[in-house]
Amino acid sequence: MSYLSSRLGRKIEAKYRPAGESMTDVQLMIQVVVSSLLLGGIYALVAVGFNLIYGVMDVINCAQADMMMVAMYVTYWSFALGGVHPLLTLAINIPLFFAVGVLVQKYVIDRLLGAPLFIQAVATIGLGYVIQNLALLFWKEDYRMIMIPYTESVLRVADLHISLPRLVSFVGSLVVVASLYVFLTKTDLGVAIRATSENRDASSLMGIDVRQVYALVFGIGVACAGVAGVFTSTFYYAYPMVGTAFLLKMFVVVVVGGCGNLLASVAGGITIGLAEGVGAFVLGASWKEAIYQAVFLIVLALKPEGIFGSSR
Amino acid sequence: MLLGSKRVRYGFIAIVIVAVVVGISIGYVIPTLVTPPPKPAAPTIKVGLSWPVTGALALIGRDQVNAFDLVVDEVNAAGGIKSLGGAKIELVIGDTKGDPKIGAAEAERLITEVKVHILVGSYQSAVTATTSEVAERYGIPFLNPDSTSPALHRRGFKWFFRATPHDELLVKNMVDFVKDLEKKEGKSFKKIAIVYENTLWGIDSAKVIKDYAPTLGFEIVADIAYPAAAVDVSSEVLKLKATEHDVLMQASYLSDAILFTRTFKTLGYWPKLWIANDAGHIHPDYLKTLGKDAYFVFSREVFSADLGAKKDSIKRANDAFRSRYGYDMDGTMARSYTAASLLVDVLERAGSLKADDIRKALAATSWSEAKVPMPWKGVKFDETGQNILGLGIITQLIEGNWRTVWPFDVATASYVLPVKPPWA
Repeated sequence: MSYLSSRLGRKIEAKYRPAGESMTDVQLMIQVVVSSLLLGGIYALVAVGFNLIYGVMDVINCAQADMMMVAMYVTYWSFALGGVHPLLTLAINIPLFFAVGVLVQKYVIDRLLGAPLFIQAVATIGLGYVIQNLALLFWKEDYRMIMIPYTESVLRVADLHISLPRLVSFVGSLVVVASLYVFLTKTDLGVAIRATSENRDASSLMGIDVRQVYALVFGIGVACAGVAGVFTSTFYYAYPMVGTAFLLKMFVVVVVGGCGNLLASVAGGITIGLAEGVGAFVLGASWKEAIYQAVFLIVLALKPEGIFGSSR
Repeated sequence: MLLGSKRVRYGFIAIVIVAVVVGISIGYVIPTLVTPPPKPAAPTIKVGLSWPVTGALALIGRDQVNAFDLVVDEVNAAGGIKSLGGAKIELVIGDTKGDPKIGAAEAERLITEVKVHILVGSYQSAVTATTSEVAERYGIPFLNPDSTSPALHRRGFKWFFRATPHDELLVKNMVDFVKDLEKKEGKSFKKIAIVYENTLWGIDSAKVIKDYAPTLGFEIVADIAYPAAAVDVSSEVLKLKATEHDVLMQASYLSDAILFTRTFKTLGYWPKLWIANDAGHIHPDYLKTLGKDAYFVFSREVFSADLGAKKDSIKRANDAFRSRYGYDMDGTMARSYTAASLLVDVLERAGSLKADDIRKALAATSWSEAKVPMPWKGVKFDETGQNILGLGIITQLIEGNWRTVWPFDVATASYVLPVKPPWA
């Protein structure tokens, strides 16, 4: 108990440790920017699968965040029951959630493809509710968090505190986006996907099986939620309603970055992360929500297709 | 066709009929089967318990009923209320389901159909607001053991009595504690930073601190409201790091309390003196999730079972509860137990079941510190029906256990002021 001044006595050490280590204003500002950047990377990761599905299929998957919630639980339970390191769960989650995506596309989305956007949205919202309530039924409303040395690690770089799991998540989200980008531009399948996204009927005439492409895209999109769930659960807790905490951000990130543009998701995520983090630090935390919503409105007013979106 | 083939339609209709029949039997037949046999000749005192015994708050509501029942069973077994010729107390539950509207409807049923002599409830302040309004309308005494919204006793009600101290007083305790600590330590803790979630509860309690602390010579140096559903609180914590302060007072629910403590650790922040405002920090999952990282946080509280070591009435109550139900009471159960004991005393003094006599006996209550099984100075209602002798306590998470550390005369452990964070 060396860190206690005295456990039962009433004397305490003459000199208090200052609240945290002293940081200069510049260092503090850099710290704010770094923390916000990392946060933005996470927003990007959550949004990228959603954006892919929307970009190619014109389907708004409102259940995306809830699928991420399930992925967080898979990660948590793999750790809690099997002792699996959260990052290793990627090997389970990617194929598992790809399969889930393909099945959802086949049995839910496919029936709604010609339907108005509103009906698709309601269907996926309904799907999200079902998932949330099943999670509530099976796992109760407890907050579950993975507490191991990795999730606790903090890197100290020149007086900056950088949370290791957040840094890894940031890098992970860049890797996911980069590999998707390569896949879409360099492979035949990727070209087929892009062609379908540009003109469904023409691609169909060119011999592309649109249904297959959609199943593939929805599978990849949901697999992205699977990956996001793994990374998120290394620094945030899983609970049945965790998706709702991310859903609105996801929409905003996608719209701010640019709908249907993968690289724009990263830009959108970082923009929102910075706006929120730096804004909250400078103007006060109660402004947090207002600040990123203001950025959202400004982008909508000035460049409705998103910062990096191109008008179609 | 909308409902498919004829066969499908008939099948559907059959299912509906079966469902209706089953529903009716559950609703009407079963209750009549379990309704107790005709009343005994001796008079019974009907006490309405307006608590959430189903729904999300069911566990809390049932614990309250259990604590209440414990006292009533003892009294009934010992011959009932003597001044009423040995009348027995009968408890009738009006399930609020945690909903103000349902609570009010049930209160109305208890008063007009069951004809209860007194109503007790209803845990959540929002529900107590409506149920006590019904009691007020019908002129039935309403005893509130456990709702803490300050507005409740300021409505000018005649029939409303609240035993628990309310939020204003409990939050002021956080500041009083710092003041006492300053005296004891001979140190100054002048600068207070407050962090709170930005819904009604967080904002109201922050306002109490902001109004009250300066009158005792403290200075609020940081005032940070954050959205309760925050995904990240790095900027909030960095703001704390950037502001020199002596005390951190925090009002958070569970998820955000966990997130803040983790972010403290990530960003290397540690307050000199850290006092939580109940709620999230005292929830068992907070400690369970964070383990050692949660150590040494102080929190305001209303009760702690370890107080039994200092006060006989608390020990007696908790031992009785423990031997019947197998676990310690928390503040909610203890206040329910206290209300039941109070009610027994009131009925003895009233010597009548007339609403007005019960009200008079309630208003004339004067309990000493030794008698009340709570860390209070006693029970005495002012003209608004508020108990003016209620007190809160400050507890600290020491070595994995919540221990009472203030007021100093009832403390069961000495507080600890760590100079390093528990993770260092």
